[in-house]
Amino acid sequence: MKFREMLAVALEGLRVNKLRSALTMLGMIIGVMFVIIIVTMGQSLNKQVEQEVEGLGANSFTLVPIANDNGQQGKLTLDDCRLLESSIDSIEFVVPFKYLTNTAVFETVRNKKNNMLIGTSPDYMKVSGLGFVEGRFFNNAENQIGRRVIVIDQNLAEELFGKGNTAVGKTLRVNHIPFQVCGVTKPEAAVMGMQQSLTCIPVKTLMGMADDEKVQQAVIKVKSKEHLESATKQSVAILELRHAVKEGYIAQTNEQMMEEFSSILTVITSVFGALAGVALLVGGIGIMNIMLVSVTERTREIGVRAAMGARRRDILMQFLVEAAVISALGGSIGMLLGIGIGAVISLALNMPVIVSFGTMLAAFAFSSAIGIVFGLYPANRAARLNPIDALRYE
Amino acid sequence: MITIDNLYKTYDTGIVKVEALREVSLTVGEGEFIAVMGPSGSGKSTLMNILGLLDRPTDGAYLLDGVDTRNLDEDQLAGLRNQKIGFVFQNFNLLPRLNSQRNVELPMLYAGVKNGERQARALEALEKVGLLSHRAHLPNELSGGQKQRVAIARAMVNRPSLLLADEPTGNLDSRSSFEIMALFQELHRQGSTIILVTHEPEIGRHAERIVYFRDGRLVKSENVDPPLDARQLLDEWLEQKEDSNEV
Repeated sequence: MKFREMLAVALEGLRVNKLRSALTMLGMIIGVMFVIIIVTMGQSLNKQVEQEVEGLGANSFTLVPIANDNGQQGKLTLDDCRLLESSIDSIEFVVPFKYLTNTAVFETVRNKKNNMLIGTSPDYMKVSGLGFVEGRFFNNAENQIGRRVIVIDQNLAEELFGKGNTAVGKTLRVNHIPFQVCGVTKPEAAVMGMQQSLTCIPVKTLMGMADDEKVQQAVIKVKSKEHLESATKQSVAILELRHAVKEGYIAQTNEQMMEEFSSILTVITSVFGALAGVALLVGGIGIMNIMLVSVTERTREIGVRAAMGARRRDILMQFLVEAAVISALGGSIGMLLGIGIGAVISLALNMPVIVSFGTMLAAFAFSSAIGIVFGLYPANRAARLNPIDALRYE
Repeated sequence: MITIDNLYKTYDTGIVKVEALREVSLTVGEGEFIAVMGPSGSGKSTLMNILGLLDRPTDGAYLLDGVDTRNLDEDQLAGLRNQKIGFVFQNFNLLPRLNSQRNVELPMLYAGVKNGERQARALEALEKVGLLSHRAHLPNELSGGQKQRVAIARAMVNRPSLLLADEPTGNLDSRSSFEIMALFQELHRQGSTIILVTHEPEIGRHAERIVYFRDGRLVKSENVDPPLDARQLLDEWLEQKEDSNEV
């Protein structure tokens, strides 16, 4: 019997028991849906971080002071940044980043918001690729003298000054200190919706407010890719010498950061994917269960088909195709739902929407395989029935 | 056409051996119409199962169309069932979810007949049994007699050498029984070889020859001369019915 005819026979079998087929499919739908959502979200998050890291610029690395095993704390100051910039030829510039430990209070007459505050240098513009809605980033002169100017993003601008109103030139208070807005940036996509609005002030200004010299991290841009490794080593060596601390710094290129993040994400995705896979397993058992019922119910039919000349493999294939159709159909529906829900979540979190053809294909193939694996036992049982007993079955 | 020689069928339950068939020899020529009669437990059904290649004899030979069936494997037997044997059952055994036409198409499905030809031949077979108009009906929308006619159309559609009917009128009323027997006699006139199992003497006398079974042995074989004419009986029966209605 040709495959097309077997498919027709199988579909007929499913059509008769619509409700039962649908319920059996539900197991597969839910299982595949969750797997797809998890995989899609993982890919989306990965892409998101990739874009952010890329936003830090190519040919650059990030330097972070840490505490070493002996409890000694690596230090990083603005002077260190300037030193690296001037002493290592292959370094183009160093962008310092300083944060307040707590969020700052942003205030206008109109509204009040808590948000993080970053102190940096105008070189940040060269690695970030920020877009401006209005105004500009603060310049070197403003940074040097520590002027109270601030760059905020559009979301925060709208909250503090109202939608459609110009913010540039206006004043807002950060922890009660007045700042003049010099630029409004386009909002950045947020990682898992956790990142807050981007607000930058000159690092010098922030130092005055925080009353310390510490810089939490620096992004260092080198002149070309070949210099990346040597510049990384030299920077760390210089700082370790200067502050007399061993292993007090982490220096990672964007690729390394990305790889590290990806590997963590892969583990997380795999663990959750495996948990969702359990749902698939349950779906498969559901298929096996219902196929066994179906074989018992249709014992007479099997006998009749055998008498009409159906070979064992014809009977086997009939039930196998039926199981595969249930699971493949359920898998496809689950896949579409998963992609849809994944896309909605991604959009809601301002993350890139990812539809991977490979994932779709894998989901389809895998769910069909589940149908075949779990359909094999019932189908085999049907094929092994003795025609005479089957015909006599009441 | 059919030769069985010294056939034995023994069921070994482990404790007792039941000899369902003993020393059965029978030859059925092409185009013959034979009735197999005997009380229940006499071995009729066992014989039908063996003739229908659904079961194998314990000993003895069964030649169908000159083919020795002893050494055939399962698939070959299925192929022979498909091509050479048509089954008609007491309980019709139509597939309940398929309409008449799809039921009739079933044997052709396993014979690999293409869709277009399959439909054409199914409709042709339904027309022969007078049920073309019921081609889209499901079995539960048909009367018993109609079901059995669909079953006969199904049994004949692959043009088998042998038609095996196991108590085909057992579940039917008198009128339907006459109609079915008339159909068998019509097929017989057109050259079909038919073996009919029945325990009703009157039904048996529609065949040309009756073989009697008792305790697994073929005990008697007698010719029926002339066989009853089902068409004529049906007409007489209808007349009687009309008369009694008038009174």
